[in-house]
Amino acid sequence: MKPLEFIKKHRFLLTVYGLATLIALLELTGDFYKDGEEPTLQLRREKILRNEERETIESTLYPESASAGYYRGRDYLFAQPPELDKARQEFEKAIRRGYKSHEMLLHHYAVTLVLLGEDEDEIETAIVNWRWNYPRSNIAPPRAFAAQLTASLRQSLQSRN
Amino acid sequence: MFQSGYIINRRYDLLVFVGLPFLILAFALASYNWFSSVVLASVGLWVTLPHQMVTWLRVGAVPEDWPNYREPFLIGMVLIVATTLFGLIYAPITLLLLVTMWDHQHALMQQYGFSRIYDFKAKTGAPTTGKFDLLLSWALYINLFLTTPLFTRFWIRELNNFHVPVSIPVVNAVQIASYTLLAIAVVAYLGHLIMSVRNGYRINPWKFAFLGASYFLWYFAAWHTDSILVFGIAHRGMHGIQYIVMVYIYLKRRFERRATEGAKNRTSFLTHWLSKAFQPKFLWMFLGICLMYAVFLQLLSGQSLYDFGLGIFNVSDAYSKAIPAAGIGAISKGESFDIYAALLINVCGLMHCYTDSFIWKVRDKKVQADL
Repeated sequence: MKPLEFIKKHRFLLTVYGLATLIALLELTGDFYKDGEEPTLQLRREKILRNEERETIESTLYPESASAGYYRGRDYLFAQPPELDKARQEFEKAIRRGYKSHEMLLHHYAVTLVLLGEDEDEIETAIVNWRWNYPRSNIAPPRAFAAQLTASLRQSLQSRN
Repeated sequence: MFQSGYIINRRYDLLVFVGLPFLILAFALASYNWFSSVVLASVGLWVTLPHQMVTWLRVGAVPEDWPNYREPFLIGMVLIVATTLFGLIYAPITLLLLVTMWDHQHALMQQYGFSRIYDFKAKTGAPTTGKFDLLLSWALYINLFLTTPLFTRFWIRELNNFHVPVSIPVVNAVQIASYTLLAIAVVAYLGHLIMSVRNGYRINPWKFAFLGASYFLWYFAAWHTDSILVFGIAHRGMHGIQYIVMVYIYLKRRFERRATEGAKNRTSFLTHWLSKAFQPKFLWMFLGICLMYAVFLQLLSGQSLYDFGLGIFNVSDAYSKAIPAAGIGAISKGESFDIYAALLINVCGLMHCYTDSFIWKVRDKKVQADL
Protein backbone atom coordinates (compact mmCIF):
# COMPACT_ATOMS: atom_id res chain seq x y z
CA MET A 1 0.00 0.00 0.00
CA LYS A 2 1.34 3.45 -0.96
CA PRO A 3 1.98 5.94 1.88
CA LEU A 4 -0.67 8.39 0.64
CA GLU A 5 -3.21 5.62 0.34
CA PHE A 6 -2.33 4.45 3.86
CA ILE A 7 -2.74 7.99 5.25
CA LYS A 8 -6.07 8.41 3.46
CA LYS A 9 -7.35 5.09 4.73
CA HIS A 10 -6.31 5.68 8.34
CA ARG A 11 -6.75 9.45 8.46
CA PHE A 12 -9.10 9.39 11.46
CA LEU A 13 -6.73 7.38 13.66
CA LEU A 14 -3.76 9.44 12.47
CA THR A 15 -5.58 12.72 13.21
CA VAL A 16 -6.51 11.60 16.73
CA TYR A 17 -3.01 10.41 17.54
CA GLY A 18 -1.39 13.36 15.74
CA LEU A 19 -3.25 15.71 18.08
CA ALA A 20 -2.48 13.50 21.08
CA THR A 21 1.23 13.55 20.15
CA LEU A 22 1.25 17.35 20.09
CA ILE A 23 -0.38 17.49 23.53
CA ALA A 24 2.00 14.82 24.84
CA LEU A 25 4.96 16.88 23.62
CA LEU A 26 3.63 19.82 25.62
CA GLU A 27 3.32 17.58 28.64
CA LEU A 28 6.75 15.99 28.20
CA THR A 29 8.54 19.30 27.74
CA GLY A 30 6.61 21.22 30.41
CA ASP A 31 6.97 21.19 34.18
CA PHE A 32 4.20 19.01 35.49
CA TYR A 33 3.40 17.80 38.92
CA LYS A 34 2.53 14.13 38.62
CA ASP A 35 1.37 11.63 41.17
CA GLY A 36 4.15 9.48 42.52
CA GLU A 37 6.85 12.05 41.82
CA GLU A 38 8.52 14.21 44.41
CA PRO A 39 7.73 17.73 43.18
CA THR A 40 10.06 20.63 43.78
CA LEU A 41 8.82 23.29 46.18
CA GLN A 42 8.53 25.74 43.28
CA LEU A 43 6.34 23.32 41.26
CA ARG A 44 4.20 22.65 44.28
CA ARG A 45 3.70 26.37 44.91
CA GLU A 46 2.84 26.97 41.26
CA LYS A 47 0.28 24.18 41.31
CA ILE A 48 -1.34 25.50 44.46
CA LEU A 49 -1.53 29.00 43.00
CA ARG A 50 -2.99 27.71 39.74
CA ASN A 51 -5.57 25.64 41.63
CA GLU A 52 -6.53 28.67 43.71
CA GLU A 53 -6.99 30.72 40.53
CA ARG A 54 -9.11 27.99 38.99
CA GLU A 55 -11.31 27.65 42.05
CA THR A 56 -11.77 31.43 42.20
CA ILE A 57 -12.88 31.45 38.56
CA GLU A 58 -15.27 28.55 39.13
CA SER A 59 -16.74 30.11 42.26
CA THR A 60 -17.18 33.48 40.53
CA LEU A 61 -18.83 31.93 37.47
CA TYR A 62 -21.13 29.63 39.45
CA PRO A 63 -21.33 31.02 43.01
CA GLU A 64 -24.44 29.00 43.87
CA SER A 65 -23.01 25.69 42.70
CA ALA A 66 -22.32 22.94 45.20
CA SER A 67 -18.63 22.83 44.24
CA ALA A 68 -18.27 26.55 45.01
CA GLY A 69 -19.92 25.85 48.36
CA TYR A 70 -17.45 23.04 48.97
CA TYR A 71 -14.46 25.30 48.20
CA ARG A 72 -15.73 27.93 50.64
CA GLY A 73 -16.41 25.31 53.32
CA ARG A 74 -12.98 23.75 52.87
CA ASP A 75 -11.29 27.17 53.15
CA TYR A 76 -13.15 27.81 56.41
CA LEU A 77 -12.18 24.37 57.70
CA PHE A 78 -8.47 24.76 56.96
CA ALA A 79 -8.26 28.43 57.99
CA GLN A 80 -6.06 29.20 60.98
CA PRO A 81 -7.94 29.24 63.26
CA PRO A 82 -10.70 27.24 61.52
CA GLU A 83 -14.17 28.76 61.23
CA LEU A 84 -16.04 25.55 61.83
CA ASP A 85 -19.60 26.90 62.00
CA LYS A 86 -19.23 28.61 58.65
CA ALA A 87 -17.58 25.48 57.20
CA ARG A 88 -20.48 23.37 58.40
CA GLN A 89 -23.01 25.79 56.93
CA GLU A 90 -21.35 25.71 53.49
CA PHE A 91 -20.93 21.92 53.50
CA GLU A 92 -24.54 21.36 54.51
CA LYS A 93 -25.76 23.66 51.77
CA ALA A 94 -23.69 21.73 49.20
CA ILE A 95 -24.88 18.36 50.54
CA ARG A 96 -28.51 19.54 50.37
CA ARG A 97 -27.93 20.02 46.64
CA GLY A 98 -27.15 16.30 46.53
CA TYR A 99 -23.50 16.77 45.66
CA LYS A 100 -22.54 13.21 46.54
CA SER A 101 -20.15 12.75 43.63
CA HIS A 102 -17.54 14.76 45.53
CA GLU A 103 -15.93 12.54 48.12
CA MET A 104 -14.03 15.28 49.92
CA LEU A 105 -17.25 17.19 50.61
CA LEU A 106 -18.78 14.24 52.49
CA HIS A 107 -15.49 13.51 54.23
CA HIS A 108 -14.74 17.09 55.28
CA TYR A 109 -18.30 17.54 56.52
CA ALA A 110 -17.83 14.58 58.87
CA VAL A 111 -14.44 16.01 59.94
CA THR A 112 -16.09 19.36 60.69
CA LEU A 113 -18.72 17.70 62.88
CA VAL A 114 -16.00 15.81 64.78
CA LEU A 115 -14.08 19.04 65.36
CA LEU A 116 -17.26 20.80 66.48
CA GLY A 117 -17.81 18.02 69.00
CA GLU A 118 -21.31 17.41 67.71
CA ASP A 119 -23.64 14.69 68.89
CA GLU A 120 -22.16 11.19 68.32
CA ASP A 121 -25.17 10.04 66.30
CA GLU A 122 -24.87 13.00 63.97
CA ILE A 123 -21.15 12.38 63.48
CA GLU A 124 -21.71 8.67 62.90
CA THR A 125 -24.42 9.41 60.32
CA ALA A 126 -22.04 11.71 58.42
CA ILE A 127 -19.24 9.14 58.56
CA VAL A 128 -21.51 6.32 57.40
CA ASN A 129 -22.79 8.53 54.56
CA TRP A 130 -19.21 9.15 53.40
CA ARG A 131 -18.30 5.45 53.74
CA TRP A 132 -21.51 4.32 52.04
CA ASN A 133 -20.79 6.47 48.99
CA TYR A 134 -17.06 5.68 48.93
CA PRO A 135 -16.65 2.20 50.42
CA ARG A 136 -13.11 1.81 49.08
CA SER A 137 -11.81 5.27 49.94
CA ASN A 138 -8.13 5.67 50.78
CA ILE A 139 -8.50 8.85 52.81
CA ALA A 140 -7.93 8.70 56.55
CA PRO A 141 -11.26 8.20 58.36
CA PRO A 142 -12.82 11.49 59.58
CA ARG A 143 -12.03 10.98 63.29
CA ALA A 144 -8.36 10.23 62.58
CA PHE A 145 -8.22 13.07 60.06
CA ALA A 146 -9.72 15.49 62.60
CA ALA A 147 -7.15 14.40 65.19
CA GLN A 148 -4.31 15.02 62.72
CA LEU A 149 -5.75 18.41 61.83
CA THR A 150 -6.03 19.43 65.48
CA ALA A 151 -2.46 18.30 66.14
CA SER A 152 -1.04 20.21 63.19
CA LEU A 153 -3.02 23.31 64.16
CA ARG A 154 -1.69 23.09 67.72
CA GLN A 155 1.83 22.69 66.37
CA SER A 156 1.51 25.71 64.11
CA LEU A 157 0.12 27.83 66.96
CA GLN A 158 2.98 26.74 69.23
CA SER A 159 5.59 27.57 66.59
CA ARG A 160 3.98 31.00 66.14
CA ASN A 161 4.13 31.68 69.88
CA MET B 1 -43.53 16.91 3.91
CA PHE B 2 -43.11 14.24 6.59
CA GLN B 3 -42.14 10.63 6.04
CA SER B 4 -41.68 8.34 9.06
CA GLY B 5 -39.04 5.66 9.13
CA TYR B 6 -37.69 3.59 12.01
CA ILE B 7 -34.47 1.92 13.07
CA ILE B 8 -36.35 -1.07 14.53
CA ASN B 9 -40.08 -0.32 14.44
CA ARG B 10 -42.42 2.31 15.83
CA ARG B 11 -42.87 0.75 19.27
CA TYR B 12 -39.23 -0.13 19.95
CA ASP B 13 -37.95 3.17 18.54
CA LEU B 14 -40.29 5.02 20.85
CA LEU B 15 -38.88 3.04 23.77
CA VAL B 16 -35.16 2.81 22.96
CA PHE B 17 -34.34 5.86 20.88
CA VAL B 18 -36.87 8.48 21.97
CA GLY B 19 -38.14 7.40 25.39
CA LEU B 20 -34.92 5.96 26.84
CA PRO B 21 -33.17 9.31 27.41
CA PHE B 22 -36.07 10.39 29.65
CA LEU B 23 -36.25 7.05 31.45
CA ILE B 24 -32.52 6.92 32.04
CA LEU B 25 -32.51 10.52 33.23
CA ALA B 26 -35.23 9.64 35.73
CA PHE B 27 -33.11 6.68 36.87
CA ALA B 28 -30.05 8.95 37.18
CA LEU B 29 -31.99 11.46 39.28
CA ALA B 30 -33.39 8.66 41.45
CA SER B 31 -29.87 7.27 41.90
CA TYR B 32 -28.67 10.75 42.82
CA ASN B 33 -31.20 10.85 45.63
CA TRP B 34 -31.32 7.29 46.87
CA PHE B 35 -28.21 5.37 45.86
CA SER B 36 -24.56 5.78 46.75
CA SER B 37 -21.86 6.89 44.31
CA VAL B 38 -21.14 3.21 43.64
CA VAL B 39 -24.09 3.24 41.22
CA LEU B 40 -21.90 4.96 38.60
CA ALA B 41 -19.48 2.03 38.69
CA SER B 42 -22.47 -0.34 38.49
CA VAL B 43 -23.78 1.36 35.35
CA GLY B 44 -20.28 1.05 33.93
CA LEU B 45 -20.37 -2.68 34.55
CA TRP B 46 -23.94 -3.38 33.46
CA VAL B 47 -23.93 -1.11 30.42
CA THR B 48 -20.61 0.45 29.41
CA LEU B 49 -18.42 -2.67 29.40
CA PRO B 50 -21.03 -4.77 27.53
CA HIS B 51 -21.46 -1.97 24.99
CA GLN B 52 -17.72 -2.09 24.35
CA MET B 53 -17.85 -5.86 24.05
CA VAL B 54 -20.58 -5.89 21.43
CA THR B 55 -18.23 -3.92 19.18
CA TRP B 56 -16.01 -7.04 19.06
CA LEU B 57 -19.06 -9.04 17.99
CA ARG B 58 -19.96 -6.44 15.36
CA VAL B 59 -16.41 -6.65 13.96
CA GLY B 60 -15.76 -10.36 14.13
CA ALA B 61 -18.94 -12.39 14.65
CA VAL B 62 -19.75 -12.68 10.95
CA PRO B 63 -16.83 -14.39 9.18
CA GLU B 64 -17.54 -12.73 5.83
CA ASP B 65 -17.38 -9.24 7.41
CA TRP B 66 -14.10 -9.65 9.28
CA PRO B 67 -11.77 -9.20 6.25
CA ASN B 68 -13.32 -5.75 5.67
CA TYR B 69 -12.37 -4.58 9.15
CA ARG B 70 -9.23 -6.64 9.83
CA GLU B 71 -6.61 -4.12 8.73
CA PRO B 72 -7.90 -0.96 10.48
CA PHE B 73 -8.81 -3.05 13.52
CA LEU B 74 -5.35 -4.59 13.93
CA ILE B 75 -3.46 -1.38 13.15
CA GLY B 76 -5.67 0.50 15.60
CA MET B 77 -5.20 -2.14 18.29
CA VAL B 78 -1.39 -2.07 18.03
CA LEU B 79 -1.28 1.73 18.03
CA ILE B 80 -3.79 2.16 20.85
CA VAL B 81 -2.18 -0.46 23.13
CA ALA B 82 1.33 0.92 22.50
CA THR B 83 0.39 4.56 23.01
CA THR B 84 -1.68 3.73 26.10
CA LEU B 85 1.30 2.02 27.71
CA PHE B 86 3.51 4.95 26.75
CA GLY B 87 0.93 7.43 28.03
CA LEU B 88 0.51 5.65 31.35
CA ILE B 89 4.24 5.93 32.00
CA TYR B 90 5.26 9.22 30.41
CA ALA B 91 2.22 11.35 29.60
CA PRO B 92 -0.70 10.49 31.93
CA ILE B 93 -2.36 13.91 31.62
CA THR B 94 -2.41 13.60 27.81
CA LEU B 95 -3.78 10.07 28.07
CA LEU B 96 -6.60 11.20 30.34
CA LEU B 97 -7.38 14.06 28.00
CA LEU B 98 -7.34 11.75 24.98
CA VAL B 99 -9.69 9.25 26.61
CA THR B 100 -12.09 11.98 27.74
CA MET B 101 -12.15 13.95 24.50
CA TRP B 102 -12.41 10.88 22.29
CA ASP B 103 -15.31 9.69 24.41
CA HIS B 104 -17.10 13.00 23.81
CA GLN B 105 -16.44 12.86 20.06
CA HIS B 106 -17.58 9.25 19.99
CA ALA B 107 -20.81 10.09 21.86
CA LEU B 108 -21.81 12.87 19.51
CA MET B 109 -20.90 10.80 16.45
CA GLN B 110 -23.09 7.92 17.66
CA GLN B 111 -26.14 10.16 17.87
CA TYR B 112 -25.22 11.69 14.51
CA GLY B 113 -24.85 8.20 13.02
CA PHE B 114 -28.26 7.11 14.31
CA SER B 115 -29.80 10.28 12.87
CA ARG B 116 -28.32 9.32 9.50
CA ILE B 117 -29.87 5.86 9.82
CA TYR B 118 -33.26 7.54 10.34
CA ASP B 119 -32.89 9.41 7.06
CA PHE B 120 -31.62 6.29 5.32
CA LYS B 121 -34.49 4.14 6.54
CA ALA B 122 -37.19 6.71 5.75
CA LYS B 123 -35.53 7.79 2.48
CA THR B 124 -35.74 11.37 3.68
CA GLY B 125 -33.44 14.38 3.51
CA ALA B 126 -31.52 15.96 0.65
CA PRO B 127 -28.10 14.65 -0.50
CA THR B 128 -26.40 17.37 1.59
CA THR B 129 -28.45 16.71 4.75
CA GLY B 130 -25.70 14.53 6.23
CA LYS B 131 -23.26 17.46 6.24
CA PHE B 132 -25.81 19.75 7.88
CA ASP B 133 -26.64 17.07 10.47
CA LEU B 134 -22.95 16.83 11.28
CA LEU B 135 -22.62 20.61 11.53
CA LEU B 136 -25.60 20.82 13.90
CA SER B 137 -24.36 17.92 16.03
CA TRP B 138 -20.90 19.43 16.44
CA ALA B 139 -22.31 22.89 17.19
CA LEU B 140 -24.72 21.52 19.80
CA TYR B 141 -22.13 19.32 21.47
CA ILE B 142 -19.33 21.91 21.48
CA ASN B 143 -21.75 24.40 22.99
CA LEU B 144 -22.70 21.82 25.63
CA PHE B 145 -19.04 21.34 26.43
CA LEU B 146 -18.09 25.02 26.51
CA THR B 147 -21.07 26.55 28.29
CA THR B 148 -22.50 24.12 30.84
CA PRO B 149 -21.24 24.39 34.43
CA LEU B 150 -20.33 20.71 34.59
CA PHE B 151 -17.98 20.87 31.60
CA THR B 152 -16.76 24.43 32.00
CA ARG B 153 -15.07 23.31 35.18
CA PHE B 154 -13.44 20.44 33.27
CA TRP B 155 -11.89 22.50 30.49
CA ILE B 156 -10.80 25.27 32.85
CA ARG B 157 -9.02 22.60 34.94
CA GLU B 158 -7.35 21.03 31.92
CA LEU B 159 -6.17 24.36 30.49
CA ASN B 160 -4.92 25.16 33.97
CA ASN B 161 -3.02 21.84 33.99
CA PHE B 162 -1.30 22.87 30.78
CA HIS B 163 -0.40 26.26 32.24
CA VAL B 164 -2.78 28.12 29.89
CA PRO B 165 -3.97 31.22 31.75
CA VAL B 166 -7.76 31.36 31.91
CA SER B 167 -9.56 34.36 33.35
CA ILE B 168 -13.26 35.12 33.78
CA PRO B 169 -13.36 37.50 30.75
CA VAL B 170 -11.75 34.71 28.66
CA VAL B 171 -14.36 32.18 29.82
CA ASN B 172 -17.17 34.65 29.10
CA ALA B 173 -15.78 35.42 25.63
CA VAL B 174 -15.46 31.70 24.81
CA GLN B 175 -19.04 31.07 25.91
CA ILE B 176 -20.44 34.03 23.93
CA ALA B 177 -18.54 32.82 20.85
CA SER B 178 -19.95 29.33 21.37
CA TYR B 179 -23.57 30.58 21.61
CA THR B 180 -23.03 32.72 18.50
CA LEU B 181 -21.67 29.78 16.50
CA LEU B 182 -24.55 27.60 17.69
CA ALA B 183 -27.07 30.25 16.60
CA ILE B 184 -25.41 30.43 13.17
CA ALA B 185 -25.45 26.63 12.87
CA VAL B 186 -29.14 26.43 13.86
CA VAL B 187 -30.11 29.15 11.36
CA ALA B 188 -28.08 27.39 8.64
CA TYR B 189 -29.76 24.09 9.51
CA LEU B 190 -33.26 25.58 9.43
CA GLY B 191 -32.42 27.20 6.09
CA HIS B 192 -31.30 23.84 4.78
CA LEU B 193 -34.51 22.18 6.00
CA ILE B 194 -36.68 24.79 4.32
CA MET B 195 -34.72 24.51 1.07
CA SER B 196 -34.92 20.71 1.19
CA VAL B 197 -38.69 20.74 1.63
CA ARG B 198 -39.07 23.28 -1.17
CA ASN B 199 -37.02 21.01 -3.42
CA GLY B 200 -39.37 18.13 -2.69
CA TYR B 201 -37.35 16.24 -0.06
CA ARG B 202 -39.15 14.89 2.97
CA ILE B 203 -38.39 15.06 6.67
CA ASN B 204 -38.35 12.12 9.08
CA PRO B 205 -39.91 13.43 12.34
CA TRP B 206 -38.42 10.49 14.25
CA LYS B 207 -34.92 11.73 13.54
CA PHE B 208 -35.70 15.03 15.23
CA ALA B 209 -37.52 13.38 18.12
CA PHE B 210 -34.44 11.19 18.62
CA LEU B 211 -31.95 14.08 18.41
CA GLY B 212 -34.15 16.25 20.62
CA ALA B 213 -34.39 13.57 23.32
CA SER B 214 -30.62 12.89 23.21
CA TYR B 215 -29.59 16.53 23.50
CA PHE B 216 -32.25 17.15 26.13
CA LEU B 217 -30.62 14.46 28.26
CA TRP B 218 -27.12 15.92 27.85
CA TYR B 219 -28.11 19.55 28.36
CA PHE B 220 -30.43 18.82 31.29
CA ALA B 221 -27.85 16.68 33.10
CA ALA B 222 -25.04 19.16 32.52
CA TRP B 223 -27.03 22.35 33.24
CA HIS B 224 -29.51 21.47 35.93
CA THR B 225 -27.48 19.18 38.10
CA ASP B 226 -24.10 19.83 39.60
CA SER B 227 -23.32 16.19 39.54
CA ILE B 228 -20.90 14.00 37.61
CA LEU B 229 -22.98 11.13 38.98
CA VAL B 230 -26.19 12.18 37.21
CA PHE B 231 -24.45 13.05 33.95
CA GLY B 232 -22.35 9.89 34.08
CA ILE B 233 -25.31 7.57 34.65
CA ALA B 234 -27.55 9.31 32.12
CA HIS B 235 -24.89 9.60 29.43
CA ARG B 236 -23.45 6.12 29.85
CA GLY B 237 -26.89 4.58 30.12
CA MET B 238 -28.27 6.18 26.97
CA HIS B 239 -25.11 5.72 24.91
CA GLY B 240 -24.51 2.14 25.98
CA ILE B 241 -28.05 0.76 25.81
CA GLN B 242 -28.80 2.34 22.43
CA TYR B 243 -25.56 0.96 21.03
CA ILE B 244 -26.14 -2.54 22.40
CA VAL B 245 -29.66 -2.56 20.90
CA MET B 246 -28.30 -1.27 17.59
CA VAL B 247 -25.63 -3.97 17.38
CA TYR B 248 -28.11 -6.66 18.41
CA ILE B 249 -30.62 -5.63 15.73
CA TYR B 250 -27.93 -5.26 13.09
CA LEU B 251 -26.34 -8.64 13.75
CA LYS B 252 -29.72 -10.33 14.09
CA ARG B 253 -30.62 -9.12 10.60
CA ARG B 254 -27.12 -9.87 9.34
CA PHE B 255 -27.25 -13.49 10.54
CA GLU B 256 -30.75 -13.91 9.12
CA ARG B 257 -29.57 -12.63 5.73
CA ARG B 258 -26.51 -14.85 5.96
CA ALA B 259 -28.69 -17.87 6.60
CA THR B 260 -30.86 -17.14 3.57
CA GLU B 261 -27.71 -16.74 1.44
CA GLY B 262 -26.80 -20.30 2.29
CA ALA B 263 -23.65 -19.44 4.21
CA LYS B 264 -24.37 -22.19 6.74
CA ASN B 265 -21.89 -24.56 5.10
CA ARG B 266 -19.06 -22.15 5.90
CA THR B 267 -20.13 -21.74 9.51
CA SER B 268 -17.69 -22.64 12.26
CA PHE B 269 -18.79 -23.93 15.64
CA LEU B 270 -18.24 -20.49 17.24
CA THR B 271 -20.18 -18.63 14.53
CA HIS B 272 -23.01 -21.11 14.83
CA TRP B 273 -23.34 -20.40 18.56
CA LEU B 274 -22.91 -16.67 18.14
CA SER B 275 -25.63 -16.60 15.50
CA LYS B 276 -27.92 -18.34 18.00
CA ALA B 277 -27.31 -15.54 20.51
CA PHE B 278 -28.92 -13.15 18.04
CA GLN B 279 -32.17 -15.10 17.78
CA PRO B 280 -34.92 -13.61 19.98
CA LYS B 281 -35.52 -16.89 21.85
CA PHE B 282 -31.84 -16.95 22.82
CA LEU B 283 -31.69 -13.32 23.93
CA TRP B 284 -30.61 -14.56 27.36
CA MET B 285 -27.48 -15.97 25.74
CA PHE B 286 -26.60 -12.57 24.26
CA LEU B 287 -27.19 -10.87 27.61
CA GLY B 288 -25.18 -13.61 29.33
CA ILE B 289 -22.19 -12.99 27.05
CA CYS B 290 -22.43 -9.26 27.85
CA LEU B 291 -22.52 -9.94 31.58
CA MET B 292 -19.69 -12.49 31.49
CA TYR B 293 -17.49 -9.99 29.69
CA ALA B 294 -18.13 -7.38 32.40
CA VAL B 295 -17.43 -9.90 35.19
CA PHE B 296 -14.25 -11.06 33.43
CA LEU B 297 -12.86 -7.52 33.00
CA GLN B 298 -13.81 -6.55 36.53
CA LEU B 299 -11.97 -9.54 37.97
CA LEU B 300 -9.03 -9.06 35.60
CA SER B 301 -8.58 -5.49 36.79
CA GLY B 302 -8.68 -6.65 40.41
CA GLN B 303 -11.89 -4.75 41.16
CA SER B 304 -14.67 -5.92 43.40
CA LEU B 305 -17.82 -7.67 42.16
CA TYR B 306 -19.54 -5.52 44.77
CA ASP B 307 -19.68 -2.78 42.11
CA PHE B 308 -22.42 -4.74 40.31
CA GLY B 309 -24.79 -4.12 43.19
CA LEU B 310 -25.58 -0.39 42.66
CA GLY B 311 -24.14 0.20 46.11
CA ILE B 312 -27.22 -1.40 47.68
CA PHE B 313 -25.58 -4.62 48.78
CA ASN B 314 -23.06 -3.23 51.20
CA VAL B 315 -22.00 -6.00 53.52
CA SER B 316 -19.44 -3.84 55.23
CA ASP B 317 -22.17 -1.44 56.43
CA ALA B 318 -23.07 -3.71 59.30
CA TYR B 319 -19.44 -3.86 60.38
CA SER B 320 -18.40 -0.30 59.63
CA LYS B 321 -18.94 0.99 63.15
CA ALA B 322 -16.25 0.58 65.75
CA ILE B 323 -17.09 -0.82 69.20
CA PRO B 324 -14.70 1.18 71.42
CA ALA B 325 -15.96 -0.45 74.66
CA ALA B 326 -14.85 -3.86 73.40
CA GLY B 327 -11.68 -2.52 71.78
CA ILE B 328 -12.94 -3.53 68.35
CA GLY B 329 -12.28 -1.20 65.44
CA ALA B 330 -14.25 -0.81 62.20
CA ILE B 331 -13.32 -3.42 59.60
CA SER B 332 -10.77 -2.49 56.97
CA LYS B 333 -11.35 -2.36 53.21
CA GLY B 334 -9.54 -5.67 52.74
CA GLU B 335 -11.58 -7.39 55.43
CA SER B 336 -14.76 -5.99 53.91
CA PHE B 337 -13.83 -7.45 50.52
CA ASP B 338 -13.00 -10.82 52.14
CA ILE B 339 -16.44 -10.92 53.75
CA TYR B 340 -18.05 -10.09 50.43
CA ALA B 341 -16.06 -12.75 48.55
CA ALA B 342 -16.87 -15.35 51.22
CA LEU B 343 -20.53 -14.37 51.04
CA LEU B 344 -20.61 -14.93 47.28
CA ILE B 345 -19.18 -18.43 47.68
CA ASN B 346 -21.45 -19.22 50.59
CA VAL B 347 -24.56 -18.13 48.68
CA CYS B 348 -23.78 -20.98 46.24
CA GLY B 349 -23.14 -23.12 49.29
CA LEU B 350 -26.63 -22.39 50.60
CA MET B 351 -28.14 -23.94 47.47
CA HIS B 352 -25.96 -27.01 48.11
CA CYS B 353 -27.19 -27.18 51.72
CA TYR B 354 -30.82 -26.81 50.70
CA THR B 355 -30.73 -29.27 47.75
CA ASP B 356 -29.05 -31.95 49.85
CA SER B 357 -31.93 -31.70 52.28
CA PHE B 358 -34.36 -33.32 49.80
CA ILE B 359 -32.34 -35.38 47.30
CA TRP B 360 -30.85 -37.83 49.81
CA LYS B 361 -33.94 -39.22 51.50
CA VAL B 362 -33.08 -42.84 52.18
CA ARG B 363 -36.77 -43.60 52.75
CA ASP B 364 -37.44 -42.58 49.14
CA LYS B 365 -37.86 -45.76 47.07
CA LYS B 366 -36.41 -44.14 43.95
CA VAL B 367 -33.29 -43.16 45.85
CA GLN B 368 -33.03 -46.60 47.46
CA ALA B 369 -32.93 -48.25 44.03
CA ASP B 370 -29.55 -46.76 43.17
CA LEU B 371 -27.93 -46.75 46.53
